[in-house]
Amino acid sequence: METIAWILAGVALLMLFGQYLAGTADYFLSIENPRPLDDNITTITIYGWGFASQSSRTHTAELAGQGFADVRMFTTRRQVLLSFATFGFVRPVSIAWRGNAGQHPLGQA
Amino acid sequence: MATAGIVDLERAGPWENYHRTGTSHLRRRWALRSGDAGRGRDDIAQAAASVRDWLLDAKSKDIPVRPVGGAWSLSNIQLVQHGWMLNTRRFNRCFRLAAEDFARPGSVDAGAFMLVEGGVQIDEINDKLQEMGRSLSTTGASNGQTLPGACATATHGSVLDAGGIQQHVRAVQIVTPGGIYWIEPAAGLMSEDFVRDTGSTLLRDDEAFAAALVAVGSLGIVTAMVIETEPLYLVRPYIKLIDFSRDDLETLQRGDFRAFSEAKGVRGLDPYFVMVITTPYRPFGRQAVVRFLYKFPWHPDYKRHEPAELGAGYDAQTMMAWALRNFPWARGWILQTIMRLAVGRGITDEVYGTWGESLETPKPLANSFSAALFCDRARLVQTLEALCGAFSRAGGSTAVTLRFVKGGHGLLSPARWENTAAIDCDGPGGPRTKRAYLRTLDAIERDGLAHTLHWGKINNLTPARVAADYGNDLVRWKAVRDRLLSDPADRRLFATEELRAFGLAE
Repeated sequence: METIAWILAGVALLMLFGQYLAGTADYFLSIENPRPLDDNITTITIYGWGFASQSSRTHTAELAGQGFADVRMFTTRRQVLLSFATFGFVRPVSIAWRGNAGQHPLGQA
Repeated sequence: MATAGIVDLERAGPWENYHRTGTSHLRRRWALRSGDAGRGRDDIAQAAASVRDWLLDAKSKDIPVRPVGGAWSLSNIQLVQHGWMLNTRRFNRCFRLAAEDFARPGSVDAGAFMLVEGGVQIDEINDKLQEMGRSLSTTGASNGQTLPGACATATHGSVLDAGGIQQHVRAVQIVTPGGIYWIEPAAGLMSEDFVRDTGSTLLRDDEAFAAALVAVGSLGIVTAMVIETEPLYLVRPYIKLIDFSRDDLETLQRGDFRAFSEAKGVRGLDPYFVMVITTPYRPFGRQAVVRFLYKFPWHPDYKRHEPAELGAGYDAQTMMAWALRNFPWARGWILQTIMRLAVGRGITDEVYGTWGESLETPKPLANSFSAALFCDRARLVQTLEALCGAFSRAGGSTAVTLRFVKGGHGLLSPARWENTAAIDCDGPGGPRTKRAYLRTLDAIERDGLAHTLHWGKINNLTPARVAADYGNDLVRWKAVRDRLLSDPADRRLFATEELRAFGLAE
C-alpha cells in the first residue's frame, strides 16, 4: 500500500513538473509577412481560477488604424510558480505583441 | 494627403532592442513615417527635411540621437542613453526608377535599380523586387533588418562570390544637421534633377561613398538608398547532417567549394552558397550541418514552398537557446541532438524557391547570443581550432557556423580579406556565454591571429583594436565623417557610448 502511495505521489510530482515545463511554452500567432515594429509586453493576471477574468483585466494595445504584426503568449517560470503556490487562484500570463509597419505598393520614384 | 515626416510617439523611459541584449533609457521616442506623395522623390524630400529639422532641434537642446530600424544588432550599437530615438520602420516605401532619373539614361538598365526609403525591411525589398522580376544577390540569414541598418554593420551571408549586403548600394541619402547629402561614386549615377527633387545636395565622391556604405550609424541618418539588383533566380537548397573532418575544413580553406559540394552535396553542380554548422567542443569527427544553395535561372512553373521547406528558420536557434541556457552541463550532447532533430533527413529532394522565399523573419522567443569573427579564409583551420579550443574551455554554449564572404565594399567592412571566412557563434544569451566568448577573443588576440569582428554582434572592440584592424581605412572614414559632420556639436549628436567604445566617436 505504501509503495502504491509513493508511486502515486511520484506520478503527481511528475505531472506537476510537466505542467511547470509546459506552462513556459510560447504560443505565437503571426500574420503573413509580419513587418513588425517594436515589441511590447504586458502581463495580464487572471484571479479566481478564471471566474473573475472578465474585461476589467484585459489590456488595450495602442494600435488603432495600424494592426498587429504578431502576438505571443507565454508564462515565465516565476509566473508558473506563483500560479502553483496559489493553487491556480492567481494565474499571470505575459502577452507580447508587435504592431505592423504597414505595407505599401511598389511606387514610382 | 499625408506628408512624410516625424511624429512624436510621446513615450519616454526604457526601450529594449530586438534580441533584448540592451536597454536605452530615452527622453523621448519618435517615428519617421512615409507619406502618400505620388512620387518617391517627393516622399523622400519631405522626410529628409523633417529629419533635418528634428536634428537641429535635438542639437539646440544638446540631446544625443539614434535612429533605429529593425533594432537587430546585439552589440547595443543602436542604443542611446538619455537621448531621442527615431524609429524608422514606418518609413518603408519602395519605388521603381525610370531611365530619365539617371545621369546617363542610355547606359543603365533602369529596371535593375530600386529606390528604397530608410526604414524598409529586407523582407519588403525581396517582395518588391520579385514583383519587378529582380532579386538581391545576397543577404544575412534572416530578413528582419532594415537595409540601412544591415549596411551600417556590413551584414553578410555566405554567397561565395558576394560581399556584405552593402554591395547592392549605389547611392545613399544621409541627413545631418548641416545638410541633406546625396552620396554616390564620383562617376555619378542619378541625374542632377532627380537629386535636387529629393531635396539633397549632390556629393559625387568615392571616399564619401566608400565611408557611407558601412556607416556604423555615425555619419548621419540614412533616409534613402538606391540599390542595384540582378535578374530573379531560383535557388535549390540542400541541407544535410554530414561527417565533418579536418580534411573537409582544409578543402573549404582552399576555396575548393565544388569539391566540398561533390563530397557532401549535390554532385555535378557549382554551389552558390555554402554554410557549415558544427559544435565548438569537437568540431571534427562528429556530425555537422551543411547548407548548400545551388542557383538556377528563374521560371514561373516551379512548385511554391514555405520558407521552412527551403531551409529558412530561426526556430531551431531559439529552441537551442532555451535548451542550452537551462542545461549548460549537457551542451555537447544537446547541440548534436538538436542538429539531428532539426535537420532530420535534411532537404535533399529537388525543391526550388527565389532568394526571398528562402528567408524568413525570426520570432524573438528567447534571448539570443550572436557573435561573428572574420578572418582570412587562408587561415581558417588555424583560426577555427583556436576559437573552438578557447571557447569550449571557457564554457561557451553555442553552435559555430562557418560562412564565406568576399572582402571590400566599404571602408569599415569587417570582411577585409579578398576571401574572408566568417565564424559565427549563435546560441543562448546570458553572461556565461558572453564571458566565455570575450575570453576566447582575448586568447585569439594573444595568439596573434589576424581577425576583425562584426559591428552589430557581441564583441570586445576598443579604439586601439579598431585602429589596428582598419588602419588607414579608419583614418579615411573619419575624414569623411568630419566633412559631413564638420561642427563638433553635430558629431556629439551621434556619439553614443558604444561608438565611443569602438573609437568611432569622441
